[in-house]
Amino acid sequence: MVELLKIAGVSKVYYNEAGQRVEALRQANLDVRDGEFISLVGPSGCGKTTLLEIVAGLLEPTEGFLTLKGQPLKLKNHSLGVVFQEDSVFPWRNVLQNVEFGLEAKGFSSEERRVRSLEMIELVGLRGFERSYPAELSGGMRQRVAIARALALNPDLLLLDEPFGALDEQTRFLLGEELQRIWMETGKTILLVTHSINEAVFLSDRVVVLCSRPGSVIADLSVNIPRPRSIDTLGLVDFGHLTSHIWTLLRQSTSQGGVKAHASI
Amino acid sequence: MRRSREVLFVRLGVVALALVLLEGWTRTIRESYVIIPPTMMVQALAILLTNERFWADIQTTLIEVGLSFIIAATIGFAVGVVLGLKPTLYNVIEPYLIAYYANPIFVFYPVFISFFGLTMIPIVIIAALASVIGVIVNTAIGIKHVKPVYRKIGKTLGMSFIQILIRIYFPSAVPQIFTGLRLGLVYAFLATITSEFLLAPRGVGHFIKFQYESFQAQWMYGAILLAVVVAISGNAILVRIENRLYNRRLEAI
Amino acid sequence: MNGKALFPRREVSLSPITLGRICVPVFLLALWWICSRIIGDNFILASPGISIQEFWQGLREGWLIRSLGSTLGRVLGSFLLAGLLGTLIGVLLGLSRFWHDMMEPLVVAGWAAPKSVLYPVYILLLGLGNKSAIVFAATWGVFPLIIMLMSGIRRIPRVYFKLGRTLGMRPFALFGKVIAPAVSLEFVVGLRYCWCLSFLGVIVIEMFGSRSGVGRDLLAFQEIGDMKKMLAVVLMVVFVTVSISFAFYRFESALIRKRGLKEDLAMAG
Repeated sequence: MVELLKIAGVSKVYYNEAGQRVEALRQANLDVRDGEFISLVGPSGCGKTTLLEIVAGLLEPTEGFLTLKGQPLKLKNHSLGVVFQEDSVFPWRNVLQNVEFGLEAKGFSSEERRVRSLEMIELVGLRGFERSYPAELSGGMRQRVAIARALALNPDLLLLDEPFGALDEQTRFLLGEELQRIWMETGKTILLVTHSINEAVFLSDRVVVLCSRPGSVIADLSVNIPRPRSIDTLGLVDFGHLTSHIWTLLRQSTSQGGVKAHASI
Repeated sequence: MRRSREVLFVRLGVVALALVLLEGWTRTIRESYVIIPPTMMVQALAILLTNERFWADIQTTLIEVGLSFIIAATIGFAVGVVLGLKPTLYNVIEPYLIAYYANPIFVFYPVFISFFGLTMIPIVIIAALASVIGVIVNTAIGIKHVKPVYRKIGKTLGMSFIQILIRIYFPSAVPQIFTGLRLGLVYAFLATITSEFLLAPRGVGHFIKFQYESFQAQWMYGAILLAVVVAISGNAILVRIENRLYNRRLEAI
Repeated sequence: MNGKALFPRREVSLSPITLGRICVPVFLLALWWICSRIIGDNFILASPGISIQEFWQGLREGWLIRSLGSTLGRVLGSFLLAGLLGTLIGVLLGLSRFWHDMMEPLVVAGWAAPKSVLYPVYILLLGLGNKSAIVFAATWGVFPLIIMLMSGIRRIPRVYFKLGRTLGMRPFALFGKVIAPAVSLEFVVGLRYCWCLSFLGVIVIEMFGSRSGVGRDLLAFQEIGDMKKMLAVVLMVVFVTVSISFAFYRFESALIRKRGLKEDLAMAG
């Protein structure tokens, strides 16, 4: 498989309001292959959101570089789909108009927009809700609209920053299964940021573990549990081993400095 | 829904009762040159509305309100957008925005009359000055409160700043901007009528004062009725539209 | 950069924001000065310098203070009247859900209606003089205060009332310890509007017909064409109202900071 996204030596340093130097991210390296599902997991302040926003083009790295398909990662060269944790669906547009939004911005004709958007709405399981307004939908449904909107532009990468963080546990799990289904149907490369270890292991091919102060990658673990994964996966011995391994890594990292580990089960 | 119906009926009932009481009181107890019965007010207004010269006054008032509002809305919108996009600038100016509102705008009226003469111009300026602050403040607040995540979405889609402003900021701020425009219109109307009432060659406000000075109670009350009804119903209609704009947004965050 | 200063000085807090705020009146004065230079005739538009001279002279001669005094006396009267009435009505309407819903459109209608043209009615009922003036100006100030209190009390989280009940609080205690503090910001903002509009109402009355006061003086100066004195009066009024509104602003900002709210104070309406 070809490497799609390369993150090399990326660091992010900034100065907070009190004038202190904050090292949000130090020397992050990551190679993502086409079609992989990668999760970034870690406590708050570990730089996972910072890393995602750098990939999304919202932040400039202080050091290092990123390439997508061999070219430097720039928003004009590439197409990225981003889903944020906060409600980002536009309340003044209905579902269909929201999904069409990116396509409108890129100048697609109204025919093409409609066809593509309806496809996406079907994909995320919201058929029948095209004319509904966000105020009428639940939080989970709104996040699905956000995913549809992100996918409508056929992006090279799909980035999700704790998309289910504001939802209750059951909805979270259901949407996780939906996300897995969408990934399997579209074959997109996905980068997911989450603080839930269970979610990360459940959904991903690889789990990248980060620790904070300074934000750095301490482990890159492959998840070899076969797909499709379901509720039963949570009970597997391998699942339990991997999640507790990650817990241990995180607990250790808060007492020592960084710990570099490569492992797979 | 049933409860709001109930409330509506009680309200209509209270207002009707008040009118009936006023009617009764004015017909029986006082001499009818101080306050005339509401029915006579309506009659007087009906007659006035057939009068050409009264319509000339109405026209003058409408032109003044319209001109001042358009000027205030345009300038106010532009300034409001700039202030909304630059929160530090807004922060610096905020106490002055409040002080602006605190200043009794009519102190400038005689100054403008000296400057421009007793024409429509001082009135339009005063009304525009009164109106603009409402538009500026509400537009700024609407733009300021656009959720940062909306802007991030625009950026990740590779939109330019102008595109983000027009496709994301403006639609998002529509309810608050509408509030600003409504307030601006109400202030423009109030300031126009008051200026005409104080000192002006023409206009509905001037008409009211003239009738008062000529002891013509019925025509005075007829015109007062018109001004009051127009203001109240105009505002009420705009409030209904405004509420619908806000209700469409009620997101359960 | 952590060395000790060689010449330790007292902390001068001149943040960029304060600097920016100082720039505003400077900028406006400069604008005024430029306009008066362009026009070039102190008869048509007096320069700031001349107006300030006139201002000091007016203070020394005493007429300026007397004028302001009459006006402020009336403003105070109507502010107190509107304040008391507005607080009472606002609180009562806020506490009862039914009365709130029923009266709200009526109160808004009162705010939107042009009250200036009703002045003749007050004169006819109460005669010409301070009585009708104060009552009339109070009708300007009373509405925003009612509206602010009404909606403020409505917005108090229901959970506060539940808490009060579970603690067995009596109504007066609940009001004093929970309701009043909860709407203190809305109350102060409402009072500010009440003051501003009462002031406006008094000025309007004085311009309509009065024997003393700022409004009357302004019209008188306009009639004789004394631009210098007019601008001196305007300067004084602006100075007084801006100072008072700044005082309100500081108080409101302190309240906001203490509560950790993120209100926008300049919400006109």
